[in-house]
Amino acid sequence: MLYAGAIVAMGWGTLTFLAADSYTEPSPLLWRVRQAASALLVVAPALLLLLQLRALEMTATDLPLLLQETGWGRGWLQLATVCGGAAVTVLLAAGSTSSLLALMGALGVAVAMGGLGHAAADERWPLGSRLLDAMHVAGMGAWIGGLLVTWLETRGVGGELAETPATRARWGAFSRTATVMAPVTVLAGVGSSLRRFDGVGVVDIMASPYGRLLLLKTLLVAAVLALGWAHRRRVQAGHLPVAGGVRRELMAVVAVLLMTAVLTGISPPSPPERPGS
Amino acid sequence: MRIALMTRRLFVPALAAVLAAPALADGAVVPHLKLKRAFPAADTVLTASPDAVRLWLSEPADLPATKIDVTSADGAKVPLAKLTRGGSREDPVVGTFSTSLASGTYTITWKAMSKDGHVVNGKHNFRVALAP
Repeated sequence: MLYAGAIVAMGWGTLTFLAADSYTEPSPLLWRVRQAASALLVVAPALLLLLQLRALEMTATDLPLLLQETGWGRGWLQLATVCGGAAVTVLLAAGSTSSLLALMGALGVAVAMGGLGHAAADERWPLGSRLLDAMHVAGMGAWIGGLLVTWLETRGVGGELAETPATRARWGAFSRTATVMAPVTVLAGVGSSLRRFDGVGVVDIMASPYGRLLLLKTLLVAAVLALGWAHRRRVQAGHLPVAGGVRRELMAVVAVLLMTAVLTGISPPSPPERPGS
Repeated sequence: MRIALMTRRLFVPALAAVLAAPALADGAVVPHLKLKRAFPAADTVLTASPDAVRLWLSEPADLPATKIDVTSADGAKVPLAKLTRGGSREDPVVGTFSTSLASGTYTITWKAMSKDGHVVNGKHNFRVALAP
């Protein structure tokens, strides 16, 4: 839920920051999706907190202790704060200032998410791990969120993409953004994985549930990249992407997000204990 | 024009890096909490009542999120004082018994939270066999 809200917020913030004039009258569907993203950015952190309280067998009276006296709790407070801000900024109409605010809000969510996940438990490279996770979330939001925002904004009757100059301009802008953000996302994700598996052998990785799910996620990401590349070639040739292909790409993205959510809840395999530690 | 556009497109990851910098100043932590050793250890037989339960964890777990329960064979909870831990990262989490333990089998059930929020738990038994 949190990823979904963050992706829409980042996509909206990025595209309107790059071309605010193209989104001064967003489609009703895009407006509803932004409203949903706003709600998710509020509900998801609250749900996360409730689930954590339950897992720790804590009650509401223990809340101040959890939030103020644990590292996780402090991280959650940062996340909830920036998510609250992003929930507001994603609803702002496109404009030079409001779009910058929307982008900053979404980036704040990416940074906070980077500080609350597996990177938060990295002792040897705390800065790098969190940076990689933040860039992974931010890049994914700008890429996939941009795809979703552009598709919602340019869908015509029957779900087909309208052949208009404005539509071509929007897809061109998204394509150029994705050309940068997709590699950033993939490289940051690979970096995070390499960091997480530092000292763990390939056999042990593949033998673990985390490793197998990560492999599946990688294959799905490869499928998304392949579809995206095909769309990029059409856009560069002056055409629009095939609407069915965009829908398939988005469905693959949903599968990737679900896989990411599962991976977040699983412990990665740990390196063997060093002698004397 | 191309340089300006490329600069603008690189703005997002660059800004993410800049914004991440203060958040990254937080203290270092270890990957995934584990129980390194315990006292009383699993399946040990003690000839005297232990003074406390001690759990050496792979990272200094936050005490408010750490829980230790000791139950006797009939399920009765053995009272423990409030959990404490020394200042060094190698110090164990300590739950001091309020009363001496009688002979019998006891179960230690513990729960702690890793720095990334994963809740880790464990359980093991030990026995007290006091001299008659």
